[in-house]
Amino acid sequence: MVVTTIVLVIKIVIILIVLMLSVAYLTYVERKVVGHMQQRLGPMHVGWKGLLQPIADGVKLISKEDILPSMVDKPVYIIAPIISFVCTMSAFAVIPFAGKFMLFGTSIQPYIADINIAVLYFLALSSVGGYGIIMAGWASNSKYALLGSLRSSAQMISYETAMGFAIVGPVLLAGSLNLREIVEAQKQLWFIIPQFVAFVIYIIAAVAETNRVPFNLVEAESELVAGFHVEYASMKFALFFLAEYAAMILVACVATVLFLGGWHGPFLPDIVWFIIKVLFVLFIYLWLESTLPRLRFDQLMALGWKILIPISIANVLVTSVVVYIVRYGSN
Amino acid sequence: MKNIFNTILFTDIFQGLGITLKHFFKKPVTEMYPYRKPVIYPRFRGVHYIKTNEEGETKCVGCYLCQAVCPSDCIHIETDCGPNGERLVNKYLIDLERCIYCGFCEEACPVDAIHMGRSYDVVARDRDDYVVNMKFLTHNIRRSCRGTSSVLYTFIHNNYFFIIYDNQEKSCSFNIMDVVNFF
Repeated sequence: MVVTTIVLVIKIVIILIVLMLSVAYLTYVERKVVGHMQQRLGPMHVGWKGLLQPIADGVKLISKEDILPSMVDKPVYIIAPIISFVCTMSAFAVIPFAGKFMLFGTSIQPYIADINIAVLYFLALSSVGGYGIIMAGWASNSKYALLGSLRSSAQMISYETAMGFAIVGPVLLAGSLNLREIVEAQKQLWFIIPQFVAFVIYIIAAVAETNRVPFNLVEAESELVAGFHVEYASMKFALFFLAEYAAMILVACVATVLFLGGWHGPFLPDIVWFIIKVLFVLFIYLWLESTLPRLRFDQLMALGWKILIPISIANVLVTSVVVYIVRYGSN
Repeated sequence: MKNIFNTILFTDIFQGLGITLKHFFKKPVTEMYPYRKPVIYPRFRGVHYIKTNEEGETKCVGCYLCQAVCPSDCIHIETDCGPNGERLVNKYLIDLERCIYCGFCEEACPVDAIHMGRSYDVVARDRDDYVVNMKFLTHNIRRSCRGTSSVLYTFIHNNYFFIIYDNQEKSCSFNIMDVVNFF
């Protein structure tokens, strides 16, 4: 019992540390990739090729004055970034990073929790994370922040539906809501092949869900200054920032688990395959970011309700009929 | 029909993605300016210099043609009569701040004395320091440092001309190598 607890705590600490570092270096990768796509160099000055830039940024953010504007709704204002951050981070508990392996004679699962409703858990937490944004916008008592968070809530409602329907496809194929079992069901065939439509819908919805370009109306710099976090400074701002980038990594992980076969792959160890796939999905994100302009709000809504949701429902329908015929057709 | 086909398959978006991916693998065009000197093209017109003859005396004969042709009126010449009846250049001042580096003086000069150099980074703390005289314009060191990559930057202060060379071993430390009094 004690050993299990210790192993669990060690796993949580390792995953948190790796996660925080990868979030920091995701900003570096973003600036480098977007820079090179514009034929610039990106950060170059702090450390070799600018490798210490994220650490310098972190130190700067922590050492800033923690400003509390006078007219804000104080408790809500303080809780909002914490909700965003905690929800995104705790969603990582169910991500299976690799298969079971043996270490010092004991079998170790490289994930924190193996629950049978992992997909629902992920969807629920990513929605609750949105509350942080809405609360921040409301509590800031600023028109830019409020408009940003209103857009965020509208966007969340319209894209969560499509995302949920897209996820139903792989769940039907695997016959389970457990992410580990979904990965194990992909040993022969990655679900991106039978569920390509769902994969595309999931990627689009995930970009909208994490408020990235071209769906970053929530923090449209040209109209809303910075959107919901205009009034935030110092560590509170850093929490939103961490939450946003951690959410990017989270949806990339889920895309890997649901569609790209999780840790399955030849020759290399499980965890390496997982990381390669997550980096590939993240690269698609940054690639889209440097290619596409921001959508107008009505275009965003039209894309969500008129295109993505009908296609995803049709996909669920076709998938379930095919799965039913294949599984129960013989008798 | 083709239009519908394009809309369904997002051809426009994939075209854009292709272009960004192409640029991703191109060489960045950023100049790391203070650390690495940019390439100065051969016809670049920088701060002037005046040629000297074998004895080290200026080739300028004080004909006033450059002063006359100067569109920004930044050249000021005063001449005197020498012992053998020749013209002596007493004063030859160029206000580098007024100069527009058009190169007309170089074209007008009948004795091939004034030339446009290749240094572009002569800076000073004071506006008066930008008014440079014959000694500055003819000085060998200033001419020798034109366009060489080891010169980090140059500046004028209180009629002294400082040339700062790049320390090749440690790229961050500076060596002040030459200080020229041109007053």
